[in-house]
Amino acid sequence: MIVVGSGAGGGMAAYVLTRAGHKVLMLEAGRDYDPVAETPMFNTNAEAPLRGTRTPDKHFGFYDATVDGGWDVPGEPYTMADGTDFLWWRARMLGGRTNHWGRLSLRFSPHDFKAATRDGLGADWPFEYDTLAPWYDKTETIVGVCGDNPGLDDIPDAAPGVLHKPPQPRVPELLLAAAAKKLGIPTAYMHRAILTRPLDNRQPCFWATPCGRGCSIGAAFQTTTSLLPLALETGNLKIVTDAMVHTVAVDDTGRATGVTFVNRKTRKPETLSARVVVLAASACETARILLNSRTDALPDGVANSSGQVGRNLMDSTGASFTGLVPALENRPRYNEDGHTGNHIFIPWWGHAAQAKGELNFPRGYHFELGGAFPAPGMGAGSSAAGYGLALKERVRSRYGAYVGLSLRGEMVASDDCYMEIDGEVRDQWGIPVPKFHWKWSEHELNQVAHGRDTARQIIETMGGQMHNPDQLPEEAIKKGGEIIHEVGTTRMGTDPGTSVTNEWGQTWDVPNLYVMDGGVFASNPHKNCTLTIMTLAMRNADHLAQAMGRGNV
Amino acid sequence: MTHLTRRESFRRAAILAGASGLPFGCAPASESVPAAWQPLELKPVTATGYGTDPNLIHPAPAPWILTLTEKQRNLAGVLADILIPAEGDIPSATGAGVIDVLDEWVSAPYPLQQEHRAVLLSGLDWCEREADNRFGSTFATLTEMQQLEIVDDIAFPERTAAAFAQPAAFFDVLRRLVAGMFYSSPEGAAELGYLGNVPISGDWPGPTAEAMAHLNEQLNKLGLEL
Repeated sequence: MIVVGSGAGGGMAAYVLTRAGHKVLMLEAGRDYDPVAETPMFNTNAEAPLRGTRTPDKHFGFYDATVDGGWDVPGEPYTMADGTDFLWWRARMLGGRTNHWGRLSLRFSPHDFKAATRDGLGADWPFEYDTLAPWYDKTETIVGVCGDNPGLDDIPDAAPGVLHKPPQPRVPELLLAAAAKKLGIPTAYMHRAILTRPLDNRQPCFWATPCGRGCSIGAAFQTTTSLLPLALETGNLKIVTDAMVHTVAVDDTGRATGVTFVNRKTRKPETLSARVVVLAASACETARILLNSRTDALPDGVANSSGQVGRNLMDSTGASFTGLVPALENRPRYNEDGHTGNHIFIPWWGHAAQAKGELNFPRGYHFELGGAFPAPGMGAGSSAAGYGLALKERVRSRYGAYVGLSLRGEMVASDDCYMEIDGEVRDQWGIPVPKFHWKWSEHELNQVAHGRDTARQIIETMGGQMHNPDQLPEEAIKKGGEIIHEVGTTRMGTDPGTSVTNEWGQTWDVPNLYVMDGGVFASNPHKNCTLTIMTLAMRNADHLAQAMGRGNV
Repeated sequence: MTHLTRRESFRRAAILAGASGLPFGCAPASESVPAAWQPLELKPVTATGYGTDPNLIHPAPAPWILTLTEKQRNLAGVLADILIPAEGDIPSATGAGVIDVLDEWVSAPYPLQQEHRAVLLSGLDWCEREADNRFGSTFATLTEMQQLEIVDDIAFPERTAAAFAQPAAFFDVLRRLVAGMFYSSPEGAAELGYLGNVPISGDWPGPTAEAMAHLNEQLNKLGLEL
């Protein structure tokens, strides 16, 4: 069988299928990539061009793991409708975006799977949390997630022994937590896909060097140091890189027969046949492939009798609130790198208030808390004023005295947010490109306004001052796609008329065609999507492997 | 009435200010007419960048050609060391190699750096013309007091006269860049007291007792508790 994509979904699908004894050919659009040999562990900003600062060549900074990608991929444009400002992040490398992701790994909660039942917006998932819970346990066991079970309704418990011990909070995080506590707002350990004890051939975190660069010791999860090597060990996996898949072929009986891709080295198309095709190219690439697979017999594309392919495109809402906190000025220095992400966060605490109708937005959000002595980069100059010794004194005293609250929230699927195929523009491989449509609704803007006011209260309770406290939500909210949590374009459901796949990621129209990336999300809870992409891929690949074993596919 | 040139009147004013014992570097904002801001017309940098797949482990030197003239580098160095002077064993900005980085920055083919190039080169040019306007000399050969008299007019946005708005915006860009480049140098990072980027085995040790004592003191002052 063919698996398209080597990131979170494709990596997990290949891992499960090969271990069940099935032969898998994995097609990856980008180049081969080896984090052990290529990760710039311990390199300093001073060693990089322009002090490592972000540029149009490397959008998250020089050392970010992303290869040939970012918001713009050379030779691979996308288009937008008038009034749309959407960003589409891609990585053209083995392992895809798992090489650089934030590793935040929060389970969706019982609330999250049935939001539409509660508030009438968007769609429910085709199962309850309890169905997925054991699969979360299995996924977290293989991935390696640090965190704990605080017993809050937004953070379901993992089974005993699954989670790795989280690192304790830093000083600014403790102060943020104390301020939140006074306001009746909880904090909890962030769950991140970071090992704090050994697992397989991977070493535990040694508390240095940012995870976004990738991790040569395998402490920070990426498929290229975990699922892919484990799948290759079975002898059942073959990986072909530089293979840009653009269509799935379907025969007269309605079954998928294989895929066609452009070999990026020869620039020529090649066709492969397979018993089963699993698409895990990322939500927007998978929808693009299905829509580009249209034929005279299937003018709307493959697996699109519902008309839902490309619809229901969702990202997380995002906004960043920062402030200077005098109580943190001139504080004693210590090594505050930790696992280089946030050690604690503010989970969504408003379910009860929403149930009582006290909030003017339907879905929740969380705050990722920021504050530490950072590895000095160009940002170190932003607190400078005046000149001379006074300037130096000010920069020293303010080092480590800024805090940030990054909002990540749930948006509601909307008819205004979707992608289709642009009828005119093609990429350098000759493949028609997506055209995006995007508009935030009042649900998201009201949520961000609430987040802004809450962040301000927290920062002021710490004795600090928030930058830009009167910013309008329309200005504060990040662009669609900017949080890089795009999902929903091939959503799963119980009704073939309103969804693209069933609960197993199997397309309603083509029984041997599966989707195992974020496209299948029925909604996009505020928790980052990768853990649930992997959990669904594990459950659904397991289902597929068993069905194949019975000859049922 | 003796007809003084503008240059001569400023020279005398400066001498008077010096004689009056005004503290160094705190001369009142100049009431004179400053040199006009003249944006330089620059040829765009057309070099290619380092690309979307550079070697990250052994970063190559930036592939673009450095473009600052010796004179511009010298003037930028004088200003950079006014911003970040040496302090005890800690080198000044130029001592930490900031001008090489600044040259790399303004010579880079990326949009932000090109914007900064336009502002910085126009600003350096303004400094030279203003030095000539006030003191009849190049900026680098002015006395330190004369240099600071000009810098004081553009270094404090909250009290900058309208006539100095554009030079002040230039100085702000220069300041952020020079400070960012200095504090991300090994010497600057050491001055800040950054202690990370070293591997630690076992559990993360967390805040030191001293750091916690400071936090607890602050929590008490704010009426907060963990």
